[in-house]
Amino acid sequence: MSGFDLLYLAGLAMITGYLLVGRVPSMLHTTLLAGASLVHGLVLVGAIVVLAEAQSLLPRLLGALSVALASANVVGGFLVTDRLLALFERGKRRSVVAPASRDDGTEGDA
Amino acid sequence: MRIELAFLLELGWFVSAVCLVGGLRQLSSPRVTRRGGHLITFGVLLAVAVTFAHPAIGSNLWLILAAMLVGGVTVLVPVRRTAAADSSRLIALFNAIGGAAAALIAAVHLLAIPATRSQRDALRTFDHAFEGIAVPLPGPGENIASVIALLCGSIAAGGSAVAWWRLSSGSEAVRRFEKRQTVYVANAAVVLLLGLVLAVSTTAHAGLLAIFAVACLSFGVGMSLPIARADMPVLIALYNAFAGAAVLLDGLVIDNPTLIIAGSLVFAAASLLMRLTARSMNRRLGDVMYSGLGLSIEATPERRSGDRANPIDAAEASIALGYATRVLVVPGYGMAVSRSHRKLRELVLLLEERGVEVTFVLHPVAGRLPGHMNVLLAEAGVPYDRIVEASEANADMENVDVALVVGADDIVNPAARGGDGGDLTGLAIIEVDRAQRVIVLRRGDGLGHAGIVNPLMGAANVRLMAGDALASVQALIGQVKQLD
Repeated sequence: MSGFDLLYLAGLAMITGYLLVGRVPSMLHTTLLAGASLVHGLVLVGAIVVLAEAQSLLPRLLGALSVALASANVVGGFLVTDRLLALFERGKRRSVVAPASRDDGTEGDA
Repeated sequence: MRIELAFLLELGWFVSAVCLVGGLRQLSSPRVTRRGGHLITFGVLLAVAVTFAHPAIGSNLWLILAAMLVGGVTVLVPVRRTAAADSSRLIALFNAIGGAAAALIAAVHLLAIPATRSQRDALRTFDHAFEGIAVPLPGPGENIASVIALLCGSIAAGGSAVAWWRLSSGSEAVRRFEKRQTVYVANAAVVLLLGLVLAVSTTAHAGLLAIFAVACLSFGVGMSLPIARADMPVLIALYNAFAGAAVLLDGLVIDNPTLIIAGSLVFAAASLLMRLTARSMNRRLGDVMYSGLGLSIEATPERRSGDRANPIDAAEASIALGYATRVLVVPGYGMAVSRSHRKLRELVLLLEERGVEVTFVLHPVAGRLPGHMNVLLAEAGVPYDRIVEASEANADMENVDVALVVGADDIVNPAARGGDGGDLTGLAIIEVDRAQRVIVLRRGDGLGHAGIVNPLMGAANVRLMAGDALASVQALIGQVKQLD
């Protein structure tokens, strides 16, 4: 792709990002940040490509470090995001089961 | 055969990009699902898997696999050691790691001038690869993009590392030293100068590159050291945006659309999150960023919030709580620090057994990250329908018998309503001072993160239960159990 194609792509993807996050309740900010750091784990693809093309010692060394760090980002990002989302999911499930101990019944929202 | 592999590669990257967008969409919906996280993970793993179909992969395959293994396994250590409730600091850590990885990609690219570039250009994408056409060097554009990518990645790495360290060491200290403006400006000048040199240079300079990388890192570190811990949420989102920008630029440099899409998504989402967070804290972004550069070094305030507070012991507090009709719990950072969220839930269950109506109110910026308290309460198993927003709680505050403030200060500080609230002025607080009674659990009699004296502590309807929140809540549980 030519330079301008790539710039179009970047611009459109940014607009998509803005629209996706546009009206998020503040309670989801932490999970979204975790999700975003999982997304930039995709840097691993770039790291692999760069290391694959590395020819001499120093680029190989830096490239390998980059691949290691990026893998850590992917694995860690996944574990954290999943753990956060699991917490939310558990909270949600309990809220369906648990409201029995409350007797005034004022909140029948969902 | 080559063509089919290349087709697979491009198709995989395309599907992966779609998965990332779809996953983020699911994560942004209030009906949060793990599916969103799994979709993003699938997208990332797919993109990584098909990358092994890249035409250049053969030469360093084992090195790549070994590096992946080392990185992926090492990271399990900090994750295992950190409780789910502290995930916020892990986000900062992985932000630092991802930023560093992106910076290294740019560094390798700059090192490769011009030795391997023509070879690499030939292999870059499949159309070039199988047509065997060497693409001419596209001028200084790539160099400039690499330099900025290195800058953004290093700032993200240095800054997030500081944020991670601040959040895990529990250090409240704001590092501000004399002449820091001079140091900061000098650092920025070095970054700018070396950046320009590297951007226009046609040969690789490993030494200059190393100095530039170190200068960028220290710029990121210097940027976040003087910023108050209360502003960390904004800062983490900012560094997330920086890491996104670095990935985006890496994508431009190595001509990889998936990287560009992922980087752009993160950049846009994180910068918007940063703005939303700053707004919910009633802070102007500029104020947060430049607060560390202010001309004066603020004297440490000698004022104390707890001076005039009336103490209360566990027995008396348990009676107030146990015989109340409506109790409002206001958790703050102190609950997170003392890890008292599960015990607090236990106390609330005991109160509910006694027929007390207990509601939690969450301030958008309670804790260290927006949503921090939601995560803790979710972990403790507090149902969503017991959690209300600040405005909702304020509307009904007069009917609250006891407001139980657990380790919160700034978000209940009535000074925010007046003109002399300093940084807090205008912050929408939870107006617990209008409740019938207020019981405050707090460790010391110091100030909140904003450093503003809390006049709440001197009010007639407010009692202070001093001590670690976990110990206090445990004492309350013991006492409530003894009520008849």
